Parts: sequence; C-alpha cells; structure tokens
Amino acid sequence: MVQRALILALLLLAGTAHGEDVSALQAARFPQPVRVGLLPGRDVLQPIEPQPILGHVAAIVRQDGKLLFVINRGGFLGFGATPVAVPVSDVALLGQYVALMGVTPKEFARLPRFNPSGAAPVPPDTTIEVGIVRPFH
Amino acid sequence: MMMSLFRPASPPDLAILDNHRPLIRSLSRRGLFRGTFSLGALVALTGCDVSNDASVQSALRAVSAWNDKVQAWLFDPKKLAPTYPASMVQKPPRFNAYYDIEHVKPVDGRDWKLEVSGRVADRSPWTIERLAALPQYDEIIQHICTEGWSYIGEWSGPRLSDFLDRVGADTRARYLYFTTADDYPTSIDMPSARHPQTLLAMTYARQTLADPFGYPVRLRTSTKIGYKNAKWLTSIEVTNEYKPGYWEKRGFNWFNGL
Repeated sequence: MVQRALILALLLLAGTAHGEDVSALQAARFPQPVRVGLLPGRDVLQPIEPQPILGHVAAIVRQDGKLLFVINRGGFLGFGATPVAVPVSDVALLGQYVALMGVTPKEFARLPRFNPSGAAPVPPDTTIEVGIVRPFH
Repeated sequence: MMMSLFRPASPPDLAILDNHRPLIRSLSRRGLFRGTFSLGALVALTGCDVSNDASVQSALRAVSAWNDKVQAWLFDPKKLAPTYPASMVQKPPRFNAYYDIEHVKPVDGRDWKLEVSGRVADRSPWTIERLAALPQYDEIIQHICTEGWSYIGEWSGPRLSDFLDRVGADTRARYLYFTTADDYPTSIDMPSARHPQTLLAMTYARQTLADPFGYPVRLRTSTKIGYKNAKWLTSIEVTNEYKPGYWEKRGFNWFNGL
C-alpha cells in the first residue's frame, strides 16, 4: 500500500498523466479481470457526481501493441456516433459502467476518429485486466 | 442508450467543482433533513428554539432509533432474501468505500487473524485455514447500496451462525461488533447475524476475494444495506453494549434491514 501511495503521490507531484507512468496510475486502481465480451455496449461515464454518459464501449482492440477501448462518442439512437479510442489505462470499471478517468470531456470531444488500420479485435472470451473505481457521489 | 436531447453537447468542466467546492461541501443529506425538521418544528412547536442544533440532532436521533426498533421488530430471521442465477453475477463486483480505490490497504493473509472477544467461551483467534475448514456456503444475492445502486454478487464462506456456535457465543447477546483493517467498524443485531444468508465471505464468484473487496474475510449479509457489510474483518465482539459503526457515528441508521 505504501508503495501504491508513493507511486500515486509521485505521479501527482510530477503532473504526469500519460505515457509509461499511466500504467502505474492504473496499477493503483487494482486492475481486476473482466471478460472482453462483457464490455461492448457499456455506458462510458464522466467521473463527476451526476455521472453523465459520454459514450458507449464499441469494442476492445489491440493496435501497435496497445490495448485500446474503442468508444462510440455522440450519435443518436445508435446512428452517427464517432468511434474514438483510449488506452485501457484511461478507463476504470464501476460495476456495469466504464468510467473515463484519464481524459477530460474536452479532450474526449477532440479525440480523432479511430482508425482501425492495423487494429485487431480482442476475442470476446479473452480476459483482460481493468482498474476499478468507486462511485462519484 | 439514447442521450437526452436536453443534455449539453459538452458536459460541464470539472473545474466547476473546484470553483464551488466550499458550497458543495456545505450540502448534505443531513442538512436537508435538519432543514425540513426545523421547518416542521417552527410550525408545530411554537416557542421551541429551532436554531438549537443539539435539540434538533437529539430529536432526529430519537426518530432514527425508533426506526431501528421497528425494523428489528419486523425482521423475520427465517425469511430468505431472493437469490439469482450465476449468469447475473457482476464480475468484477462494484467497489465502494469511504475513500478512493487508490487508498485501499491490502491485508497480508499470512499474518491475518480474526480476534474474538466478549460473550464467547473460546477467544482463540481464527486463521484463514481455520475458517476455510468450516462448512462453506455459496449465495448469489443482491447488494443494495444506500446511494441507490445495486448489483448481483456471488459470495461464499462459512455462515456466521456456525462460527458463533463454534466459539460458544452467547446468542442471547444483542449485538455483534466488527472491526476492520480499514478502520470501518460496524455492528449488527444477533438475529441478523444468525440469519442463514449471513456469511463470513471468503470468495467472490468462486474465486478468493480480491484485495479491494475485503480479502481475506468480509461480512456479507443479504438482509442489510450495503454499508453494513464491512470488508477486511479483524475482530468480532459479542456484546450487549451498542457500539455505532462508521456511518452510524455520522448520523446514518443502525439496523438498516432490507
């Protein structure tokens, strides 16, 4: 625990939010096993008290060796949404929801459309590890 | 799920929370109750000093205690809570605590012991192995949080009633008081403790409890609201003395039956 707190404190003091240090931040969120097939369709929440829905998980893919959550942003009745991708370290599980932890709503709104070139969908029966988080209220 | 037409295209910036933090901190459920009660008192009890915070608090605590007594009276120790199919189990379960996930302090199971005290014949501490040797029960029940959310979870471990029998507990005692590794004490009534769906849970979804969910042992009861189910147990005291838990000290109800 002391190690986790130290890592977290150092990250916060250094002001780092991306790159290799993010994995340490994710480790502090006690990653838990989850089956990939259970993730598509889940609401993606902004981590503030009203927990507004920012999008929905579309797929889990590997691209350039990185595990990515592809999220459908915006749209109406499932039409017109823009798929964008964030690394697994930028999300955390909140029960049946997924919280967007490492990207602000403004940054999320500016993320470019996901380019599926070279991306391989992770099979639904694969188990990955994702950090967890407590409710935001 | 359809997004509301009335929702702004861009959600509020988190900086709003920082800018108004003093105001947000001043808001609380108890504050709402206090205000509501004071308004009623002003109308009904002319001459009462509604600004006297202590008297208002005292009245609220009396109502809360009355609620506890009614709930205890209504509690049927033989009535089982609904159970669910394994396909509905939330994996992983939902984490909650009075602190953020980053502050969870894992417990080393090798050194862990469950202390037993109070009105019991055998006060020898319990290890994981000793608890695992008791008959194990599995239940798939709903966890209902006072915050308004819930999930279906599968828990296994010895029944608390079996444990109490093994330590020779005085089952006429009124309370069980639990302490935990995260300084989150709680207490429950003896009938709820002896309910067949009240476990000293050691597994979730048939896997050893993960650190954030209370490894090695947590309380898991189907008959009480979520915050009564303390994680990372370190001791159990059988007593006739009422001791409030973490949330009860902050004004929440004690019995909290479902």
